[in-house]
Amino acid sequence: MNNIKSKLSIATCTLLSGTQVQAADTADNSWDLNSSLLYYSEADDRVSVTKAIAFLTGDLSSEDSISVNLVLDTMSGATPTGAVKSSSSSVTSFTGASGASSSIAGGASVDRVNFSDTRMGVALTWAHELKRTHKISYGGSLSVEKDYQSYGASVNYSIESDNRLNTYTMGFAGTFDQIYRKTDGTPEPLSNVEDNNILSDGERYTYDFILGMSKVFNKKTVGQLNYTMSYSDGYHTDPYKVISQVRLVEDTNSGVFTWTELERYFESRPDSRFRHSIFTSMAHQYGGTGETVQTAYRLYTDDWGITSHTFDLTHRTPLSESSYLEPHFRYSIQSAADFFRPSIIDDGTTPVILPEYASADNRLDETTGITIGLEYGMKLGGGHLKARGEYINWQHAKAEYDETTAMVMQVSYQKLFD
Amino acid sequence: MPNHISVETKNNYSIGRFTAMACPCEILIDTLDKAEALKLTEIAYKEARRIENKFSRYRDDNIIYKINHSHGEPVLVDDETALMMDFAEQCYELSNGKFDITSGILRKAWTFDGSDNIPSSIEVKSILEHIGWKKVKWSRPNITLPAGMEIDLGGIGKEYAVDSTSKLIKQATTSSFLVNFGGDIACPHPRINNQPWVIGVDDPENTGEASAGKVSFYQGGLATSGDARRFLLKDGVRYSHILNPETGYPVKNAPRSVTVIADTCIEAGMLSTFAMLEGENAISFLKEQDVKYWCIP
Repeated sequence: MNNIKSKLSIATCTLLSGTQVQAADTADNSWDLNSSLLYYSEADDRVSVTKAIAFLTGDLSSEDSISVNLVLDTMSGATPTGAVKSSSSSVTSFTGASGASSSIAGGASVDRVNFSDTRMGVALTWAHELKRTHKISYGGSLSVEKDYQSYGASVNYSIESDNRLNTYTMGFAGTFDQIYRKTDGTPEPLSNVEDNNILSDGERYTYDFILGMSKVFNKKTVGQLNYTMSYSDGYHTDPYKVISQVRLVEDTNSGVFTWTELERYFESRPDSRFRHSIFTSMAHQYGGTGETVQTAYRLYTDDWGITSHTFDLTHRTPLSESSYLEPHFRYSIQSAADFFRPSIIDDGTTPVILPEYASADNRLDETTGITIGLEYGMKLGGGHLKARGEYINWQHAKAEYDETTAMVMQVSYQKLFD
Repeated sequence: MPNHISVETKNNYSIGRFTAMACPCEILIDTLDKAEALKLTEIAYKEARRIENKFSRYRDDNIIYKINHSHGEPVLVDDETALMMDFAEQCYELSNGKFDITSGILRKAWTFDGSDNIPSSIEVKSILEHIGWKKVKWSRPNITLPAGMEIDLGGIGKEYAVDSTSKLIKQATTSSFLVNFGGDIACPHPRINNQPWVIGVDDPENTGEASAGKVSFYQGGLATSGDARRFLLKDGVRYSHILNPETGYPVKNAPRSVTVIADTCIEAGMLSTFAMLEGENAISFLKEQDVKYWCIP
């Protein structure tokens, strides 16, 4: 037995003052651990990522809670560089009219670059309840990999309506990123790969502003609406991506014309990006056993000319008191960035004038994406176990690699300790 | 004067009376101003009836009825009910599951009429399946009660009404006063001249007729738990009406009556109830709580 009077006093005080204070019992030692292992693998031996995530959240006092998020990624594979496929080139060496030359080492694939890296990320959030319906949270994050470092800080303020049916959130975040290649700094944008002009590390500052609202419409329907504005300034180019200058060249033996790479440049992207996105979702429970349908739509637009629409649908069907099955479907369409081009065309008659910005990265191409997934969840050992599998397919309109197919497998376990 | 309440003036205080929550209710006010006493008694009457209507399980038009007849569907509750649910959950945890607002349906098996009518263990077991706060999904502001289960705020409601009423009266007067709903009492600030209110503790052997003792009460909350006339007798064993929700059987060797003084009425009520639930360990439990208590073994 122990003395419970002080804890009871707090509980009583809460009840009578109408102020929501967490019970001292839970404030002392209630921790929620969510751990998960995710495996992402793109077909054709492209990118594969194994991600281990641990998310721990707990109460420090009746008004304060803290959460720690740890991520460890190991990434490997061969990612498209943006260069045209070597197989589409019938020559391995070419001397152009301009006098420049480019040689391709025999047998080596240049349209893809092998990579392997490990990322470690840590994020800390401290949330503090100012009064019954007002909450402020401060966050800090750090992420390190061999060619990237990121530091972030954020502050969020949320207000609940007196009946707690509406929640309004406003947040600011700032991020500082350092981008470089593993071996050196960053290549000079649109410089010839041959020249190997290396500049210092890239730096980027990003500022995000978020406005959000969630609403409980009735006991079975909840909705959410978020607006995010983000401005980033600095180095946005991918230091590994290149773009090929190509010309239709006739193979004198066969008489067949093929697009042949003449030059290869490092890509170049604008040094700022202004993004807006609106996200809305609605969850509705129906039926006697708690079937839940959730729909979401996201509209994204930026000043690079990319606009995307994403539609998301999940449907949860309880299988028993303690388990459920949840199919997931997502469809997205995206327009290409203004400066996206699969290659720089050299018509052989007029000298090529390099554009200010150019990238052949298929992620900036006009793309249609489909995701089909299934999640199974069950209660296990006092916690929740979830397993999900997803198939993702992106069709890129013009990029050299016009299709990306990936599988995602994830197993996670969440448990509340008290 | 409205006929549901009465006000009487004593030599140095006034007393307002009415009936609510199936028990006699009194407001003692340190004033000889009858109009003020009437006004404050009206406030108390309204608040007592409001809470009774809202949380009584005997009505079919309130949130408790809605929850108890939700057939496993989630029910959205208002803020005040949510606070009650939070509090009930904390009491469940603080009492290690002994105080459970879902245990009320045990009364289907047990009728405490002084007879030897003990239910069969099968009967008790079948009811136990529908008991346990842990089976309730309470995720503010939604509560989901599995079909066949019921909640009953009888163990909290009256004490809560006392504190809530006392809060309202405090806003309406500067006089010292005492709220007493069927023996659950609150007095938020002391009397003039620092005199105590003297509270008689009901004698369980002669309930309603004799006092087993007197308690000087200056300020705070006071509540008594006991089994008075509600018990069963079989083969010389006295089964109190305090039931253990884990076993479905009455707590053995609990004191006849426990009176506790704490800061608020609801706190006093919970401590006296928890003490009863401890059975023969009631007194050692109370000793650890660092509160004033009276125990009738």
